[in-house]
Amino acid sequence: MSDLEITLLGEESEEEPPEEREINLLHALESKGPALPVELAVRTYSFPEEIAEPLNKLEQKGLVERQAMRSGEMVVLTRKGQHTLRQHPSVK
Amino acid sequence: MASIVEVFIQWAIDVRLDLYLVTGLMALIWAASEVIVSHPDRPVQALRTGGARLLILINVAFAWLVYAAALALVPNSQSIWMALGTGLSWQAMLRGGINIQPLPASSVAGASNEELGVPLNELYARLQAFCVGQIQRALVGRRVELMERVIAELDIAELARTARLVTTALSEEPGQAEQYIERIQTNEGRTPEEKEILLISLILDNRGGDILRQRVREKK
Repeated sequence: MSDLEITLLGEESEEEPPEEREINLLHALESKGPALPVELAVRTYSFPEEIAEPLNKLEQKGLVERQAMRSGEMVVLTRKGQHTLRQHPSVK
Repeated sequence: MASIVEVFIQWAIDVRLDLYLVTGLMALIWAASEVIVSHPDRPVQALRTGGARLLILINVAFAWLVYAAALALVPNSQSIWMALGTGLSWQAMLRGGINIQPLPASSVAGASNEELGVPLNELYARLQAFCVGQIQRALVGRRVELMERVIAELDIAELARTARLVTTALSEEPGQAEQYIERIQTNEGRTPEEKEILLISLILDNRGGDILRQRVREKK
């Protein structure tokens, strides 16, 4: 979904805003790029099982995407995720 | 009878291939700098990926296309300045609206140009996104390969020591990193391999890849 569509349709207002842990994960993805789930956990000083739920929520909201790789799966920030992060007060 | 080489040389002179090379070189430098800037932690590794090479190639090809289009639009404009300018600003020129038309407008009755045309800038954006994805996949894949090598050579104590060294020197939050290393080491419900993976990830995340490679070399 493009930034313009998100702005015009206001999709985010219908969803519950991301929690702090979810925002931390989005920050980690934006600042250091796509990562394996275990790397993402490390970036936020967490264990993989601790980020499993927030990561699933982010995926359901379309803010991150899991891409299959030979050696597992890579978590990538989507355009919608970038947009959400830019609008979050922690970024301003 | 003129040899193939002579024909090629004559053709190169006719089309001023030297100017195309200038445009291509500018596009190459531009693309390489984009890769470097977007991967400040691993610029050399990023440049060595197939995705980066493809991105550079695509940049050069698009720059040539824009240069050729510019020459067609502005007759007698062939010059070193035109070649340099196109090499540096072809992306802006692309956004300006040079479009590929895959089908002639007359072939589909009633269809507008917008419906038929594939905007060149959109095509470039898609190819660029594909290349960036390939670079990222390659970098993650290389980290996994390094993890496998390190797990085979180093134990938890050594990895924890390296993680402390790296995070103390380079982490923005050394206190938090120290607590995290402690949590990893003392976590009873985790296998040694899981602990190693977490510690290696922490070292790599704090730009300690070279130190790990050095440690592995020393062990061998």
